[in-house]
Amino acid sequence: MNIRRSFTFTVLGLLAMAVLLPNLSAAPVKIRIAHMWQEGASAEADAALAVLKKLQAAHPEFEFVSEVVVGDEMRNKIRVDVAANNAPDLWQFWAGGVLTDYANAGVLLDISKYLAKSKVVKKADIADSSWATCTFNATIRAVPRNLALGVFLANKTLFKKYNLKYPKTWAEFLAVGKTFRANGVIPTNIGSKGGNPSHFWYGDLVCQYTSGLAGTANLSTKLDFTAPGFVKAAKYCQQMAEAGMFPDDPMANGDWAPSIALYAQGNVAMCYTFPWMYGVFTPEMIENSEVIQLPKLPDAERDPATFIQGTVNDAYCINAKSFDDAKKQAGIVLAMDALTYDISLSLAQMGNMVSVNNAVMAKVDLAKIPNKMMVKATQYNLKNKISGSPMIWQQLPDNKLQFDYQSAVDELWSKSINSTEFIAKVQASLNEFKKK
Amino acid sequence: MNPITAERKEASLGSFVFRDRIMTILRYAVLICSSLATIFPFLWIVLCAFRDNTQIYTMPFALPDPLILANFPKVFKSANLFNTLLNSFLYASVTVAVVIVLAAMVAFFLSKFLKKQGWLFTYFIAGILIPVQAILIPLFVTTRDLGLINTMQGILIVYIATNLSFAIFVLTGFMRKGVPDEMIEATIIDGCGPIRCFFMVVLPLSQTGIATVATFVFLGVWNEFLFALILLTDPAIRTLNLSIFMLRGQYSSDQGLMSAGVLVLITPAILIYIFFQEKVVQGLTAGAVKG
Amino acid sequence: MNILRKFRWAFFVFVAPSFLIYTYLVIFPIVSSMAYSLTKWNAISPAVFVGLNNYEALFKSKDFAIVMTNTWIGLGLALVIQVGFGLLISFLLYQTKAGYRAFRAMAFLPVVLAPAAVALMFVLIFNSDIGPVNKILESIGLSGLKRNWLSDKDIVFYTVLSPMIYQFIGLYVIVLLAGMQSIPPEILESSAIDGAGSFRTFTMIIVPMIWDIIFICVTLITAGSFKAFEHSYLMTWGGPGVRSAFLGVYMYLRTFIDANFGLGCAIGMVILFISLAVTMIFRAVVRRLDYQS
Repeated sequence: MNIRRSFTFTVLGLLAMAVLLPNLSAAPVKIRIAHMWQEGASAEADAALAVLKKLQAAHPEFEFVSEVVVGDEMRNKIRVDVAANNAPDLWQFWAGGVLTDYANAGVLLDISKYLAKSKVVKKADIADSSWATCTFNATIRAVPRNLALGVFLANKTLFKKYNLKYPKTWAEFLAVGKTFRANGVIPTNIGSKGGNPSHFWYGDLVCQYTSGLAGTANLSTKLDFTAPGFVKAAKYCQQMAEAGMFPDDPMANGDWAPSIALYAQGNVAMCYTFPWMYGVFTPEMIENSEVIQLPKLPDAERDPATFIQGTVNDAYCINAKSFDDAKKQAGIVLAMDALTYDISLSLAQMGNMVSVNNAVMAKVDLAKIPNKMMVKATQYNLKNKISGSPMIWQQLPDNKLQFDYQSAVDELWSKSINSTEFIAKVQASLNEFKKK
Repeated sequence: MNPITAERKEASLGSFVFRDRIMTILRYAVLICSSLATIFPFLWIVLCAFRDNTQIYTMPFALPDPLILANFPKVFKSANLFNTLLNSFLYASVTVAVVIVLAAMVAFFLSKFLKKQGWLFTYFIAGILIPVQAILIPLFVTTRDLGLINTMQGILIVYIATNLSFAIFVLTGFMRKGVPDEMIEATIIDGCGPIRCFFMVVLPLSQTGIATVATFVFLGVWNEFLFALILLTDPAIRTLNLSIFMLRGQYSSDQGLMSAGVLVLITPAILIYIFFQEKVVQGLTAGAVKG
Repeated sequence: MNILRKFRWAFFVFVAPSFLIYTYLVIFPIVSSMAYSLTKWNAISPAVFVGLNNYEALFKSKDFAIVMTNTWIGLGLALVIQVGFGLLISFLLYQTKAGYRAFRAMAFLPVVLAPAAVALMFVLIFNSDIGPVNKILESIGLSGLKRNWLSDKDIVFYTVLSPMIYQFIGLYVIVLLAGMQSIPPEILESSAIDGAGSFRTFTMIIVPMIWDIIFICVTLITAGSFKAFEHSYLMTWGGPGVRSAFLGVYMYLRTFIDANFGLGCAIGMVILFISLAVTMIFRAVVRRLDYQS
């Protein structure tokens, strides 16, 4: 009898403890952050994660959980998580049309609420044009993160070896390409898988025309892809593909990492890339690279010596529902401050990104940046007063349009379609969108 | 024997031996060639796992020079490998255990309780023909509604459900031939119920069939990609397969590292195959494939 | 067995658990997939009923036509090559004693590898600037055959198809071999006495004896072809455009990249319908053949 009774009490006691324990020991509130820094994958990742670790140490009342997804898979993750009602509290995403669905469905926090609480991020520190890429129906839905600031490089050794001058005009560009091809060197690194990095290059050519620049800027509202700028630039891309200016296998050598790999091996004469790839450059590669301008198209109306692709690329989002949770709010603000300010600062100081936040950039001393690729590019941009031009992909107002555009660029690059079909394809997709 | 046939046989014996020898040589030539073609990509990946980008890009077939061993520790660090390796083992072994028990029970019923296979059998094995894509989205919605998305239970229940058909198909065929009716009758007459009979007689006698199913199901789950990609967005519960894929990274491409990751991923699968291959072939031969 | 049939409760113990799980998670989703295929839904906002719009859009789409053609060609090639090679290699193995186990193990090796791993391997192998395929062609003096394996719109599909076919031949070798080994030896002995050569033994005796196993292979290949996903998705994203996409990849892209879940379900339904129809046709053909022999 006694044994049975004590057994019953023990069981009851254990049960009670199981129920009460989680409540008694105030468990830290979980803040889930979806970002792209895989531990050990790069110096950039480790630097960003170090900031998060410091934040964690300073605020044990919260548990900051990383959910790492690298690159375009993030789109799939967020889609699924939001659909499952299981979205992270904050996530790294992109600016522009990719946010539309989420903004319309009320998933994203009105950023003014965050700005009201933030200790470090002020609205005035980020240019209005940057905020505009994250604004939907007059409400800001994400905090812009970095600039997609293009750079075009020439391999000094190869140019010297074949006794060539850096091309400034289209004719010169095609001519050096021909010489390189004849000698088994791939003229440029611009492959195309999922539209990377090809769609930026196409956009850069488009912006050599006033109609192209205006067309890009108004794309999200006018939904018109037939302006002369779009058509002509596509024609020149087709010409490049036919002349062998791209890698032979643009799919295999497209996307970010592969597009740099060939240049790194010294097989490519000219390299078009963006700051998020600077971490891959070795000192020898940087030493051997000269920043050059994009070639000027025969009928260009704007001089590519003065501009390059340069607009907001990534943005950070806050889950509106989580922010309304009083327990989480302070933690979210802390994490968001770390992402948009501390990490940006740390990466900008390393030379791995160009932040859109002027307060961050003001603290970056160019002379102290260890990544000399960034130093070289920045000095060139300052000296030549390079301005940033808008990005077509970002201006496309929904996921399907963006995807159709990306895959049409792949087709243009791989000579699966010609420039006329390319324009028609993108326009058809826009028309379909218009109908809705 | 018919004298005419006997005569013909003798007359052609000499040329037969000669022809046989040529046939044997040809046979081995074909077998050796096909085996080489089969294992070539595998050997090449092994080669790549011990080299770096420069070596792979400049001399695709050269031996490692110098030998790069750093890829492996890097894989273990950046793919969160121990954790995901453990997850994959857990998913695969739990699925195998549950599927074997459930499918064996169904197979017992289908093969011994029913006169003919009937509609129930067809209903169950129809699942083999159903492409996962056709049910992917509702499954996603269902697991969401059950609150099981991004949980281990969620992916497990999906793996179990989607592997049942194949297991039932193989085990039913196996039990029909491999488990003699007389033995079941004897145990029932001895006073055992069907449940004891199932555990004491049917399961032990189906060992070979079970080994076949277990191997296929284990490998199927180990190598599964699409469900893991959709249902597991939380890195802590990801599978090894998925995290090796993530190694491919969009912003860094280290071919040596990726090859090392692929090697880590395929090694357990190969070991399991080597360990069970006799059973698998026996299971298939013993009539399991004959439904 | 009569003796077991008196246990009427057995169904509930032995079958019911699997029946429920299977019905709830495999059969029921097909029904709801059908329902979703009639809606426009981005998984975030509520679904809107649109009737047959998704199907109409599909059958009008040029991309879908390309993907369908890819899928049919892929199925045809997989059937011919996998069954063909499967029969050849398994028959050779069947006659082989020395090295039998080693050959068998090597033939099956790729089957156990994750398709994702194989895809990652092959994307490197086919890279036309650095991969071994072009290097080999060059070194044996066949530079003329060098191609842009992953970009040439007329070739990329076959490039993506090749690891899929290559990887699973071994499975059919093993299955067919098992079938051959289950043929009673007396039958083969009597054919040997009749003086039939190995080719005739193969076509006249072995193949007819294992018809039902060949049918199982055909079924598995068909199901596999319509499910195909990893190779195409990982090697090329189905691109350029959709040139190397199969139905499975097309569905994934439309569903999760475009966020068009309704259309995705419609594609899923098409996949289901076609794979069932094809299997039925094969089954009818096999019955017919069985009947004739």
